[in-house]
Amino acid sequence: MRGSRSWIFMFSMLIAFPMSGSGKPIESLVELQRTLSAHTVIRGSFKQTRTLELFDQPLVSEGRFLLSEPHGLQWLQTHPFSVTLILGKDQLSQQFGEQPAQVMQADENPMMFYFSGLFLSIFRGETEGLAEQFNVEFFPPVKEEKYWTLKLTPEQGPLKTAFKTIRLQGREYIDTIRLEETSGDISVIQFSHQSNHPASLTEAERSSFEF
Amino acid sequence: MNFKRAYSWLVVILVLGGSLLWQGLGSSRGTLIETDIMALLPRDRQNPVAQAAMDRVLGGLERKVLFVIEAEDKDQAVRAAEDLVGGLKQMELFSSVSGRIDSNQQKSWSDLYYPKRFQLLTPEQRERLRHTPEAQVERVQMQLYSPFSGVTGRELQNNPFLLFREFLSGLTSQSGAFTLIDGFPGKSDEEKSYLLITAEAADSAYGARGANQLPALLELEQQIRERYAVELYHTGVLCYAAEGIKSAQREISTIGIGSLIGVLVLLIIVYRSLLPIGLSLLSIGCGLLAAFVVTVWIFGRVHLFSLVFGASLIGISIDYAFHYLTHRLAAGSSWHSGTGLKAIFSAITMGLITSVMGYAGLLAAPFPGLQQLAVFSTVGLAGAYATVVCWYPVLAAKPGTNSGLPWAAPMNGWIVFWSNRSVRIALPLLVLGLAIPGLFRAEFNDDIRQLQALSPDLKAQEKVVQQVMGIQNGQHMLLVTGDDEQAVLERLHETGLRLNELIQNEILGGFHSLEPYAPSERIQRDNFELVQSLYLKQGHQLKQTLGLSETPSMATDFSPLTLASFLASPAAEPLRFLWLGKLDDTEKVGSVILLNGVKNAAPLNALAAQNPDLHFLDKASEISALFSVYRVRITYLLLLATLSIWILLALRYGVAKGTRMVLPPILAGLFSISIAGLSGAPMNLFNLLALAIVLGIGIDYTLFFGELRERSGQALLSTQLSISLSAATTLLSFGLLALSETAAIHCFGMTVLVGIFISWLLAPLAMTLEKRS
Repeated sequence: MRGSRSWIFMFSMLIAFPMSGSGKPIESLVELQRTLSAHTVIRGSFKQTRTLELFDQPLVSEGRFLLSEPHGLQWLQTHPFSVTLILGKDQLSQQFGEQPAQVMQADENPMMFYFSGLFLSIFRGETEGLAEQFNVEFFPPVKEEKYWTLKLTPEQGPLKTAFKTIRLQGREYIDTIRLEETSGDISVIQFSHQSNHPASLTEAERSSFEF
Repeated sequence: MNFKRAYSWLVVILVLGGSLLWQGLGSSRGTLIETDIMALLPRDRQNPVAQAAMDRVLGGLERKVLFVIEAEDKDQAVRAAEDLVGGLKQMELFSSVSGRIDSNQQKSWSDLYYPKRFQLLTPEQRERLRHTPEAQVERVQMQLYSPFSGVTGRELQNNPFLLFREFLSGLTSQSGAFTLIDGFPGKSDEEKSYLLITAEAADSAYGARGANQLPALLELEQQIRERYAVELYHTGVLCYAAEGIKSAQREISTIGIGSLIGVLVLLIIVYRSLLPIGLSLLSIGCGLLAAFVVTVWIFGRVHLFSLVFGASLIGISIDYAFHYLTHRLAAGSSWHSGTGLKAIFSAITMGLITSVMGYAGLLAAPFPGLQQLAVFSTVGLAGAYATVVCWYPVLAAKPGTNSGLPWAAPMNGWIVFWSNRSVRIALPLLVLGLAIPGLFRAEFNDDIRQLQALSPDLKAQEKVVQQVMGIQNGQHMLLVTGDDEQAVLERLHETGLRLNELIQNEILGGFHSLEPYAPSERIQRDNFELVQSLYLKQGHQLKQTLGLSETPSMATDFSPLTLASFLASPAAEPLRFLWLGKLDDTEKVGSVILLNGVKNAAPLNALAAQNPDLHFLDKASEISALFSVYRVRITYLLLLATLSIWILLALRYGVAKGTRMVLPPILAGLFSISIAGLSGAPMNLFNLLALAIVLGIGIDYTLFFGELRERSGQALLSTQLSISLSAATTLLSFGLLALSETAAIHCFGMTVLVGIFISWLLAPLAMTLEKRS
């Protein structure tokens, strides 16, 4: 049912906006999904700010990222210390500075992978999969703002005890992910300089996913 | 005519009949007949502790039936699983069905462990804290900044060194790589989703209820396959047992009806009168009645296996009746029932004695099933014998209306042929000559796994289920015992370390032990001290590195997580069976470690040999070893029995005649071994047990020839006819055993089939030739 309805919806969208390009605001969840999955490779910069009650100062980290379909996500943190995180389909490699990388396998560590898998779905805006665990609400851009908002509210289980809401905002790409914990702690990840050029991975990038 | 004897036997039969009624009323029909295949197997007498442990663990495991639903669409799989769980819950067969795991159950893990989080560490964590505690600070820092880790402020507050998440994760990785798919444990890859559902049978896996309700289960599965277009697989001892019971029930009726029809046809052709048919059925009936009642008296229940063999008893117990009735037929109008009985009395009495000696070989094996079989057969034969001796002279007092033996010409021809001295030498030599090449090719294989005729369809389903679960089956386990709970937990810990080495060396696939879930108090205290020292020495460092507003602190009091509280938690439900507690008849407590994918049993045996509190349990190998021991033992017993029978016969008939009487069954036995060798099928205990039967019955045939006082052609003819009739019925009933799907019964049947045929062929060797005149 869900599948056929969204297909009809998409079809009507195609007729209504035959030229729906990057400049047009995104008006629906389906369109959002389509936009976010349009690029197989996205590169950019991030800035994460975690405001936790335990700390006097917010924890700020910065670096670059690379999202590639179907390989996964690279998270190259440069500040305040250097860390390379590579999240593949079923493994995660963590490298602290110049130390040897620690690799975890998903089937050996299903619990650890639960959240990383979820994060990847959020990053890719895979609303279909997210709907299993969250109540998904889409807010189209208001007036001249041009930002859409996707609000995810956990429905059950450990997620619900940890997070109040997860909000995504963006235009062509996701620009902000905001995680609000039930304790009141907030983490915000801002993305900038997103680009899908070149549209394929360089040899070095491709090989870094193989570990 | 001896009415006193007849009345005495009538009293016995009435008592037996009454007992049957009483036994039948005392318990429902289902419980009088034992279907548990395991009841046939010997008890491990060397190690009662290990045996008791094994029985308890296996008893629990064997009740489990695992279902796997495979579908391309995840939602479809979940709907099918919901429906299946509902259907299974409605079946009386299962006492519990576990499908969806609710969030309470998920939460019970953290409820159990969270308060004890400062004393629970994985082995890797222990190593790290002992040698490089500063590395833990780095790990916390990395995880705190990583968007993939999901570390929340609250978690950091409760557990600043983030040790607990790693411990829990270590446990989940030990318990198998399942994720929850909409609450169902399962797995999914790009193409398909697999959901796992477990059900537990209400009775023993081998009970009759499993077999009876199997069709309903299969129907439910088929409905779900069709309704949701999913694949559905199941496995469990219950499924195999149900198949085994069904095929045994089928075989009982095939063999029983087959031999009964054969007997009736022969009776009609030979005697052409109603009275002999009635008499024969009477002796068969009395024999079976006595056999059943006495077996229940002694063993409490009759095993299905005994009944399968018991059905073939029909073909043997008729022999006494044949001799009597053929004699009557041959005598015609000059029949006198008293003298008639006298003429065959010593032959059938000797026959009974030698048969019982043959069956005594079965009693020697410590297999309860075979002992029961021996008792069943012996009593059955005795019952049939007593009916002939006590009742026939009274019931068949009048001469028969028909007289004259049928097939007189071929019988006579056969006897004339055997009267030829050269034939008497050449034919046995020919049989021996034919047997020799095969004898050298005969092989033995005592592996019990060869005897299990497992359905290929069930095998295939099992493979799928095992692939999804990531385990390999095999009833391998280690029993760990100790003087108290703590000693066992300590030993489990040490053993776990050794097993990890075996996993590294690819000797073992994996194992399930209770220890990581409830470590010993010493280890918990050790962990607590390690964590305390971490807080003390690295706490400040952590505050500095992360910029915490306060130096982290932890609780200072230590109270161990007790095994009792672990076992009482709902989280422990799937693991509880590993803990055995106090073992019966000992002062020890015990726990088992389940082993997966054992590639080589030797290192595990070696590991167990080093410690008297460690036992490696491998049921299949143990039984195979027992089979081998008893095969050798029965070989000697068989030789001993042959020798005793030879001596007995030599004393009664003289050396030369005694030898001629014992030779046919010996040659018959050699020939059946040879046939087995030529067919390439390795022999086992059951072939040898069959040889005992061949000896017992084969001697019967030669006895009747040997016992003949008057060497008239008529007496020879009647003897040859009755022997041929009994051989025909025996071949019929045992020939049907050879068709059995159960390998053990099949081997038995084949050996008897060949052996009896040769015994019949060579039996006239025992007749005394008339002096050359």
